Amino acid sequence: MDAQKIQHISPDSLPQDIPKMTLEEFLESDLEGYEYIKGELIPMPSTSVEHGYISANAAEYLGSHIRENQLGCISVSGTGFKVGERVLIPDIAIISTDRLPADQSKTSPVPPDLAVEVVSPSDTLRRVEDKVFAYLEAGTQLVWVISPGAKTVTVYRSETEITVLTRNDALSGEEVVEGFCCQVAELFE
Amino acid sequence: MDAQKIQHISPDSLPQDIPKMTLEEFLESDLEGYEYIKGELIPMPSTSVEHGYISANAAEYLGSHIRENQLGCISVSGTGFKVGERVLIPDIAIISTDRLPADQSKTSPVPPDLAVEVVSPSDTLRRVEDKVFAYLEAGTQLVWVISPGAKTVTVYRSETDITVLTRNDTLSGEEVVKGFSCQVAKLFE
Repeated sequence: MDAQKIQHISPDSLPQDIPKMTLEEFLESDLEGYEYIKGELIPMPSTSVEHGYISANAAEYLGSHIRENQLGCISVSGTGFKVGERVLIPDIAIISTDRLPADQSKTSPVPPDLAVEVVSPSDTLRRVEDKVFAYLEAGTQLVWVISPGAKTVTVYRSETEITVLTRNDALSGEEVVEGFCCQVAELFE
Repeated sequence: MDAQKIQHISPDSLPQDIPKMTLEEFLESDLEGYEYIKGELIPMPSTSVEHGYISANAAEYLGSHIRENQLGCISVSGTGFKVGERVLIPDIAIISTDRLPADQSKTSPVPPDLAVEVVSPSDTLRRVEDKVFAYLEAGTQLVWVISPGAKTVTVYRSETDITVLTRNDTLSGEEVVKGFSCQVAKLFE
């Protein structure tokens, strides 16, 4: 499938307007701005003001720590990651230096070590949890789900190890982003 | 507003088809099957099979404990509770004997002590959290949010005291339903 054929895809297209692709075709394509979930291309919508500044705060704190300590690579601009049979676009992802893919011009063939999702008003809990467990199953070690409404960060380490941090707590990079720590409240300022 | 005027309201009605009522009018009416949130009547949809049996499990365990220990009243069949400026219908609610309203033929004028919500596939995280914090602000001491997808119970005690229990954990009634405990996994069996 070439770029010509998919030019009519816009975020306003209904799912049935989007041509079917296999996961392999999607990974080989130059298509950007879509997640690939259960055979469907899901356009990534533009996000709200609060979504943007919370992501920016998290990216700034994580990014400066990652660079200073040369821990790996942070991606914030919609990078796609192969996560099992899906391609997901976390709001922020960290992948350690030794796991960085050789060909950085394509979707990452491996999942990130840390995935951060900022919840949008239209996100159902089920959709968020589906993604979280897809990351964990694929090998992502840590997933942070940031809720702008509740001002919380839910930390998922496994299906049975989940912690909710509130504005009184500190967020730690644990073993995944070693030495990283920030106040949860700072993410929402 | 009398029953005649609102007979055309069905769960399929769009929000703009539903006549406006004040909170006081809603509380005085015999209207059942609606939540009242920010001036809107929100019809309660029928629920899924999993929603039903998870609610039934929780109601059975809580109900038998409440009755044996004469701790109060459990409601499971869509009772409305005035929660601040809203009327909400938790999947399960417990209200202690000394807080039971005198007129039990109407919506409860006071919020429950424990509210239990089972998340539906269409529930956005924001909508769930909005309800949880409305309960807590109105005086509900404990809110349990049960996620059928993740098989978790999130326990909210306040905006800054939130715990996620997974299938390996035990759910406790804490100070609110004294002596109650059950395995989280049993809720999903």
